[in-house]
Amino acid sequence: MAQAIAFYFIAACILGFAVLVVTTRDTVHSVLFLVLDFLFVAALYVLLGAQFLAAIQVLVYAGGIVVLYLFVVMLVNLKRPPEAHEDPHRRTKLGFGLAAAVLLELGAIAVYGSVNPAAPMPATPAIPVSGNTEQVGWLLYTSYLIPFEIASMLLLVAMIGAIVLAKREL
Amino acid sequence: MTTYPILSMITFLPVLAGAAIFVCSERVARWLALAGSLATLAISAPLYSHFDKGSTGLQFVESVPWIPSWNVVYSVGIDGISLPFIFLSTVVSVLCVGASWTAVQMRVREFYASLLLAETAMIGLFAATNLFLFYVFWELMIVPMFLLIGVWGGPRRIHAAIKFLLFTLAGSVLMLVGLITLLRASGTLDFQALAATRPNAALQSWLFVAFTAAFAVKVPMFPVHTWLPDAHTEAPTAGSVILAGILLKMGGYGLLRIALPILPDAVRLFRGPMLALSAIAIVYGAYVTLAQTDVKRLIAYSSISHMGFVTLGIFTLNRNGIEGAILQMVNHGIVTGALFLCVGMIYERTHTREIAAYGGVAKLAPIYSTFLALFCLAAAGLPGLNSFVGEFLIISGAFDTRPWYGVMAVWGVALGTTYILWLYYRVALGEVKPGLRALRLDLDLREVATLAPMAALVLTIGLYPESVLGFLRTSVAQLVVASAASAAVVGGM
Amino acid sequence: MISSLNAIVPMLCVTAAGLAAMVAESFRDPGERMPIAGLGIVGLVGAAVATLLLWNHNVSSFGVVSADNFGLFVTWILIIVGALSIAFSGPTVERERLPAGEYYALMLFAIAGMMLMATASDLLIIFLALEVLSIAVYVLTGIRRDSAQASEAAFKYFLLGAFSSTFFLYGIAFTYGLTGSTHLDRVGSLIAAQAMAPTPMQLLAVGFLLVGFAFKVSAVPFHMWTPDAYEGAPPAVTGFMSTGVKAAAFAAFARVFLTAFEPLRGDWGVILSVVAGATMIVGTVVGVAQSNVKRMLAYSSIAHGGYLLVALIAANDVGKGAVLFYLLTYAVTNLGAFGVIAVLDNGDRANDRVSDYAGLWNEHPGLAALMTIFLLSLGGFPPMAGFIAKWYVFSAAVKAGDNALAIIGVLTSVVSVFFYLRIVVMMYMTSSSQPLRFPAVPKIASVALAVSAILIFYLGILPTRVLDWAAESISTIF
Repeated sequence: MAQAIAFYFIAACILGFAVLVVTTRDTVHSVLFLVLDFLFVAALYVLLGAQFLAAIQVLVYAGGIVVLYLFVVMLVNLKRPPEAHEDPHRRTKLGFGLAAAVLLELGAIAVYGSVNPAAPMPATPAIPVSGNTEQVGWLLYTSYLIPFEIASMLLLVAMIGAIVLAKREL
Repeated sequence: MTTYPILSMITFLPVLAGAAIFVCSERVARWLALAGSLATLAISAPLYSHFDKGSTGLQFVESVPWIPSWNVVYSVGIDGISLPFIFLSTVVSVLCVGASWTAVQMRVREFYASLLLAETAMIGLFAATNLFLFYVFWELMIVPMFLLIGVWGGPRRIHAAIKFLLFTLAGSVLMLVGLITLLRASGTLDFQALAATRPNAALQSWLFVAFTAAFAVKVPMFPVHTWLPDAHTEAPTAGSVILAGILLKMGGYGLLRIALPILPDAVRLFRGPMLALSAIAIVYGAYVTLAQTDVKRLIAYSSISHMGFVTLGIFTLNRNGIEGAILQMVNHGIVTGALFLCVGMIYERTHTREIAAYGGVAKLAPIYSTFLALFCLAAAGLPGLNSFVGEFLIISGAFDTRPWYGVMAVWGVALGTTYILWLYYRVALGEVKPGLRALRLDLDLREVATLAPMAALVLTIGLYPESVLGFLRTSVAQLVVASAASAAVVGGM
Repeated sequence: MISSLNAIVPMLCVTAAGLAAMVAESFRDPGERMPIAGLGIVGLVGAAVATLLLWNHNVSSFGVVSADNFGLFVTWILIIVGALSIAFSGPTVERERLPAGEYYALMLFAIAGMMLMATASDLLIIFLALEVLSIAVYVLTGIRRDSAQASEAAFKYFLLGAFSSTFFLYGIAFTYGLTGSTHLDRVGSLIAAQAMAPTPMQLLAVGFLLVGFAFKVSAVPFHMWTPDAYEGAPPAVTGFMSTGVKAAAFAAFARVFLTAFEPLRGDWGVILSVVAGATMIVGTVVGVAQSNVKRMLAYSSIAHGGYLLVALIAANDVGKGAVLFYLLTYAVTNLGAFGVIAVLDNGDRANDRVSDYAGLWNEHPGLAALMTIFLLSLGGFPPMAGFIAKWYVFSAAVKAGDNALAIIGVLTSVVSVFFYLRIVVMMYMTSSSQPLRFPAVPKIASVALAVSAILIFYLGILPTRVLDWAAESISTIF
């Protein structure tokens, strides 16, 4: 019962602050409300017994995001002229060479993977560890390995996208 | 019987020639188109010499699985009903190539390619023995015809082309719905199998409405005829000839091939309205024709009247009527095609289609006027010329079943004689119009060579109608028996 | 089902090519030309080889990515889409001075996301893949940064897309709450095991997922973003997203609804039928009123989404290959049409109004002929592929008893012919007052256009083999 009350209270706060984030005219206030929102989400995790996740939520989102906002704003305005080089094609050759190397390497990995099939995945065993942090780690690197990796790809795409759209001169 | 795939050859030879045209120069294009259409005509010869007139089945059959998982077969074959139309298609195509030799100067290659694609579609349609293939060729015909009218037509060509498209597509969409429904009900699309396993009477009525809507647009029957005058008037000569000569026949052929054998109960149900619409087309078409001042429009409206005879003949549902209808379609193709050729030839010289601008052409162009007179008399139904036989058969068929419609048809013939002879009087006789004197009006050798085969056909069929009727007698008899048998079964139930 | 890493090899190839493109770009001097597109083609060829090798092996990686033949068929479609899009992109990238490395990298990442979405068998993976491809496509939409129209389009697309993602995620959350799993097999068996009458929870889960997918396939009433996004993006990107995103989204759509939520078909079938009917009608009717070719094709692609929905609803024993065959046909045809638009865009003028096509036949007879082929195929004329595809869908619908949908489909596809033929009328039957406004056609693009046209005729005249493949492929999932 107490848990249910806590849940509804936290959920209401999350919703309320989320509305404030988008309705506030002042950007700084908006970001601060976002921080509050993240904090309440962390509280929700605590309520669910996921303390590690809650800690990460506070560290990464509530802490990191705000800093990142500032950095992004500053970085985008940074501008430095490209340095000239005596051989204009040197960089091209180097770049293409490196690109080919990357392609080759990844291709080799792919080919290796297909000629040497990995050992069959063990059926996900009952989680052998007990701590909250270990459980998250175990899950991330067994059942949720692929989603984990795709999420990193997602971040890469988002990063490229943000740079392409926001940077003044490419 | 021949062993090589003759029907596929004549179907696809034109389109291959059409594709080959794109790699040669414009000068060669004309000759290549002529060679392609002539070769098609030539290799179709065994169809007539080896045709078994006594057989009721399909002949020259070819059947290859096309999309096995859907049970769709590429199958072609002909019987007595399709043969005359194939003949008409191959002949008219050759003449169209000839008729546009000098008239078309713009985008020659594309013009002939469209023409030849249209020929493939027409022959394929008449040779198809299943509904899927029939529909494919039916649709295939639309695009080249649309381009022929819209690109090489007269000043209001876009309007005419779009109107043509609107009507045709509206018809073919209903046909597609009918097609899918029929497939679901019968599980097959083969004409013979469909005729053997007919859908129930209620479904037949719906299917009849769907299919007949498509066919009626093409014929064209009375309320959906309005695209025809525009299309005819604006199309280039070759386009008009194909329209009159073949495209309109697709509708009549569809009625004979699909409505009568597959949906006989519905045909009986809708017979009254169809006959009435046919009679209206005959009389109304004739009156409107009388009022025309533009030569091409006049012939176009006369087409509506003449095609009214065709549908009247088909829906008499007796042998005379149906034989007459088929013969009338062939005759109309020849005569109206020839009249459009005549109009096109003189239009190239005078650049006007107003009847009032002509007069006394007979004095200036005796050869031309002789041909024109022959075709006009044929169109008027003079005994001894081809149209007489068809109209006579249709009228006698009508008197056998519904005499009042026979009376209407006779009235239509009388009106037809009036407007066509009046046309000839205004164009060829009387005072020579001053503007015409300076022009070289008479025909050159190429034009005579284009018209002469038409004239020969007019005389041959007129004097010896058995030359056509002989081919179709057995098939028509079978068709009449088959559709009557069904009615008896239904009546007994 | 064999478990190994192999199932993700096609995606790895494409991703590797994307990374390579990024590396190459970082060493490019400003204004210098570099054949970065070639790297993309290499990656796609690698993916194609991998797909061939995986065919019929039914491999699964990590239990969440399954390279069954269904997924591989869609992967094939995506490879074709990718190769053609890259071929059409060349002129746009050069003329608009777009950042080539980022452009191609984003395109390749989007393709990798699409492939993943097509082969994923876990809702979580589907969501992540959806996000990967969506974010890449949002950015591609707005990649012409100096164009206000492009920015507006990208922003609209992004906002509505993010909105739809939330719906999708919410649907996943409900599904997880119901079944304790996001894996499609387990979800399916648990839903089948639950009570016969659907619970409100189940309906909510299905409903939210449906909304999420409907956004991505631009089904009415979630289609609002489509015309703006399609108009604002560079034509090559529009072609890419109108075909690739649709193929991936429909693959996942089919997989989720025909496997996991198959037991609830009675419920979602009805909703989807209404949506499909509305999509066909709105796409066609509004399409008639357009004067911009890209907007017109946007509405046409909405209508085609409707036909695909019909194929999905009618996916029964006879018609289950229809979705795949239609996707392939639509992808080739629509990309071809956008390819023509892309090569006609000459920088100063987009040449994308219907009236800009006046007299195209006189200047570029080949392009006009190709455009005619693409448009006729979109309209469903024989002997083009579009006819066979539509026939497949409509006859499947009739066989499944959805007569109303089949009739709406036939009627709307005829109405759509009018707007397709408006362009044909413009190209062939009118002449332009200002000649020579069209740029020369680059070789690679013309080869790609010719390949599309050949594929269209191949699929239209000799469809048997591909039809059988499509039917066999989809049998691997249900």
